[in-house]
Amino acid sequence: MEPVFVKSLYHSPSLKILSRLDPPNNQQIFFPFPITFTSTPGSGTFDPYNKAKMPETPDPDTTPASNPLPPPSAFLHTPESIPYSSSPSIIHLKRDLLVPLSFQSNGAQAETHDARAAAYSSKGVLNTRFGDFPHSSIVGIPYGSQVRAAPRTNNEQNRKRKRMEDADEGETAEPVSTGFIHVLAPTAELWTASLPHRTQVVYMPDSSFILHRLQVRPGSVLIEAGAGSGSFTHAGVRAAYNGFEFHKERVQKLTDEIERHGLDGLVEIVHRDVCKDGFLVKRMVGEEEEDISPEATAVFLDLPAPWLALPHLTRRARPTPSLPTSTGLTPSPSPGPTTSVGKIGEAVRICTFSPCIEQVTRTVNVLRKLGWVDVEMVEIQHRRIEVRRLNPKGYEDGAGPRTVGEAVQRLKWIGEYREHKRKKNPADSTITTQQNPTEAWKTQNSREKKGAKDGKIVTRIEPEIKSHTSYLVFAVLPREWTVEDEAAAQALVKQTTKSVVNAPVDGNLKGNGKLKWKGETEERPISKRQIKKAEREKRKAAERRLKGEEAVEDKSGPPANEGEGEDVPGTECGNDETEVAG
Amino acid sequence: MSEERIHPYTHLLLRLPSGAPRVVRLVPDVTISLGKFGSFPSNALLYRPYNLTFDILDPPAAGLRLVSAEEVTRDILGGGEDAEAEGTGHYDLEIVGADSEEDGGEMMRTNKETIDDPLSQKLSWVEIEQLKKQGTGSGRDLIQRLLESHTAIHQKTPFALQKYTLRKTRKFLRRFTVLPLTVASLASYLLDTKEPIKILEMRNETIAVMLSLANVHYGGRYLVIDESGGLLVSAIAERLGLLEHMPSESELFKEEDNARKPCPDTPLPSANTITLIHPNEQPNLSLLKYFSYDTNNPTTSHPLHTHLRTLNWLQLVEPNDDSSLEKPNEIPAETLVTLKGGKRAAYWRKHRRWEKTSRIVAEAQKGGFDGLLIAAFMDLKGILRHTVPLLKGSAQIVAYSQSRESVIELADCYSATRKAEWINEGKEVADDEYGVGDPTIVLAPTIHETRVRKWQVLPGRTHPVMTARGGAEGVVFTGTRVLPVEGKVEARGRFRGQKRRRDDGGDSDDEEAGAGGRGGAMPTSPCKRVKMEV
Repeated sequence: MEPVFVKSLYHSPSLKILSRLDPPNNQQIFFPFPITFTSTPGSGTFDPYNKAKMPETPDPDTTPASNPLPPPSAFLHTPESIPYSSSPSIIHLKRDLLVPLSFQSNGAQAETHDARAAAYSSKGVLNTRFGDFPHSSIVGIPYGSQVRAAPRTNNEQNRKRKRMEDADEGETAEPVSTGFIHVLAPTAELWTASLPHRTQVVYMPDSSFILHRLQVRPGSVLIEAGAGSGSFTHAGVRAAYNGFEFHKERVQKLTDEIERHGLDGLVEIVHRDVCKDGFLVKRMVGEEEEDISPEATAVFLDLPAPWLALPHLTRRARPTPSLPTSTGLTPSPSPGPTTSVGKIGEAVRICTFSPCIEQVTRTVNVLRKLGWVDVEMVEIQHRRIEVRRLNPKGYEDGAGPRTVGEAVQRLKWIGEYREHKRKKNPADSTITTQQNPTEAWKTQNSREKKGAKDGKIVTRIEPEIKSHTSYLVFAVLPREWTVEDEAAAQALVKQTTKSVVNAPVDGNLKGNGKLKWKGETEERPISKRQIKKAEREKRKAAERRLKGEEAVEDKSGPPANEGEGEDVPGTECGNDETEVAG
Repeated sequence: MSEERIHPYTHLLLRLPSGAPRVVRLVPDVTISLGKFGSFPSNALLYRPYNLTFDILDPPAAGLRLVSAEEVTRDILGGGEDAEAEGTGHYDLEIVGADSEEDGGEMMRTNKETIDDPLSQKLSWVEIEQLKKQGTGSGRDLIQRLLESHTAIHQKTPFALQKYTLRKTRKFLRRFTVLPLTVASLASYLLDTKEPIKILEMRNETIAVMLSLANVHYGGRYLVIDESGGLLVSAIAERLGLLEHMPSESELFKEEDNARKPCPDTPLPSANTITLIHPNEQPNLSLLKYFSYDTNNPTTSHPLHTHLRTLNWLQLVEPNDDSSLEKPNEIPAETLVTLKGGKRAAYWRKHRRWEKTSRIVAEAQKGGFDGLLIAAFMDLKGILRHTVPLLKGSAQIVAYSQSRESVIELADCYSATRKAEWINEGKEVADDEYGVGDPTIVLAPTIHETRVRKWQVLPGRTHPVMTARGGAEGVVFTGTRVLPVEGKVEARGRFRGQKRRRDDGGDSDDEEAGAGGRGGAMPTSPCKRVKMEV
């Protein structure tokens, strides 16, 4: 059983060990890239042959009871009610205004993650423009609850506010309004949205696509280099989490945030310049500490010069001789994130995230030289749409006339009114023979808003779109396939199959992408006798048909339109029809 | 892991040089035919790793040749990498010697001397066919011959020559790459070559966004409405770690026995599950067959067998009217003993099915789901009306729609004014038959639109690809299930500026303000009145 690690190269200004490196303004550190590997070996490897047993392994619902381990992070398992814990809850004030906040049981200053949240919260009370919310009124209720503001407390801020309001007359007469907030369970997206943007953040549209393409699944090992403010880390942990947590071997350098969020069994953070020092992790092997490969299957590089880190991501103990000389790299004996020799390795997928096209071309160039294949570059365009109703009275609809007819009508009225006014004796103000044009306008065009379903629905794009985030370069490093491997595979094939080399084309399973679409079951022989019989018949049929002809060639043609041919099996197979029947 | 090697009876995706994908189920001891690209024995792929590229050997021999990554890359680049190393940048620029001082030493080569002439290719169609038949070198020789017999080849700029070579390579090279059939590759395969309408034209980026926004992760319970043939279910299953499964030989051939045997009474897990609600009697999950799970004849060892539950809308909405939920008649034990074996088995089977179904329905109705994911043709409002109350507080709601309009209409149902109407005027007034029900239980409805733009990255020729797939834009609606407090709430805060308070009458979107008194004051002219309103 091999441990599974989730790796992350994490760099966060809140990291204590980094303070020495922090620029004076305490903003982002760009270099060197801290790596923080958090070891969370899940105890189970994903041995395909043991896979069937997987589902019975830890069940988040049942294990915490019997398990001495702390409950899983709120990011990964929503508790029934809001706990006193270091993991943040997301306070939803209004759309796009979210504050992360955690509640401490001792009534001390709540731990907040940025100055903004600290400003909101003091002495166990959350003060917002929507009212004051004592933490005690929030803790214990289920996540997702709407919380009404408490009557104003007599804290300093409110006293100040009151003084100001007292000065403003008439305001005191208005009853104190009670606003509300919603308290939400933390997710990677809400957390990112509530973050003060310390560094460039990998936003949801990018991170989701990256994780999808990198095939990060429960149990995967992911390396992230240049983690910025950790938004991708949270999304990555969510995808790689497989229910196992490992607490025995805590790495010393845990960052506050990951620990606070309860992800510290899952993320290992290492502070290091990966471009120089590579990706190996220190691990206790027996008595000695050794540099071993993290054996990752997915790599995400958010670095200014990803091509410098690429030579470290290799399977061989010695870097390839074809290293680009321009990078000025000294060959270092670091087997990369992949498996050691002798074990069947998996393909490694990589994604680099760089905003400039020059970075992309250089990265791709190096990737190609280092034997990565399927190099593809994409960019993601994402928009959020706002929906609203045109207000019949409002500005958007044009407070003026909405049609030419209306415009003409109104102009007529204005003329008539002017006439009426001119004729009217200024001394005699009581005579109003003609209706006021305003009133007429109002009655004729009933523009009063009646309800929520009035007015046309219109859409707009969010006020500011991210027209370019970064270019994403994807590539795959297939596993090494040596002559010995090939021989072993051939032996295995010989052992398990009938080793037919020139088998007839199997009509049903031809590799022409014409498997049926809809609920079609493949006609699979059900007993060994039947298989043999079918095999015999097929061979006979093929022999008959292929007599004199050379190797079986199948007409390919464009993909047949399935709609018509669907019900008749084998119609698109033409000459293979006989075999299909068998 | 399942990705490391090709195991028998798994589905794979073969990508041909033209980029066209083919899905193949790898059955040992058969020949896999790739049409004009030739055929090869399936055993040549068995137990080999994924992501490798192979050449198909020429007819007398049968088999595959492994192509090294360097060779693959060289063929993709078409010989351009050296030019870039020299720093010439674009290939149509020629560095002119020092004698021309004026224009910085660069001159553009044009195609003005090139004459388009179909006769410049000396090989005839028949000859090409002939060469293809006897073809050697997996098509490389043919390409070489084509280049040699092209009379105007020397007129081509290096750039044009590269493009010509690449085009011919795509057409004639008999080569393919083996890729694992994952949700991502399946989606792009179905979208490009199959009938995209059956998967609602869901693109990979949209699926990814849905999975992220719905906070899908291991251990959660998800409520799913999937009319895409199982694509959404398989995407979720992949994130829950439920797709990896190795069918063993014994299972493949003993399925009949399994069907006859009483189903082992496996306890249904209470977490890490997918609950699917389907509109027809049986769910359409045909795409799961690519992941070795057939809903009609399920493999009991597959993780999905226990972690995927299905029920239909009737069972959810009006369970009393569903005949399958009626308890089968109890037969007392004494009588049961006297029955024939087959009848007794049928009785128990019926009983067990009823138990399972009623448990699934009860579980679904109890609710407490961690997320809701929808990809459906059906009206979204009706779906949400019945499913949102089943969610846990703070659960995420994600709905996909092919068209913007239906999602926009949905988002409007949760607008602030609708919520206010619901709170103020009560259920009776605001509710309508086809609406979403209580709008206050969904917070922050948002619509996302996302699209991936592919780029071609070749030395000196980096640009976005010229054409991409059109069709349905595909939008995603998201919202959060919340638990509103009892009684009246006011969306009041101290955020209204003083400005707002001052012109009390002319409030644009405050409904109480509108009715109030402006009847008394008579503005002097319509124009002034208009200005005030603004």
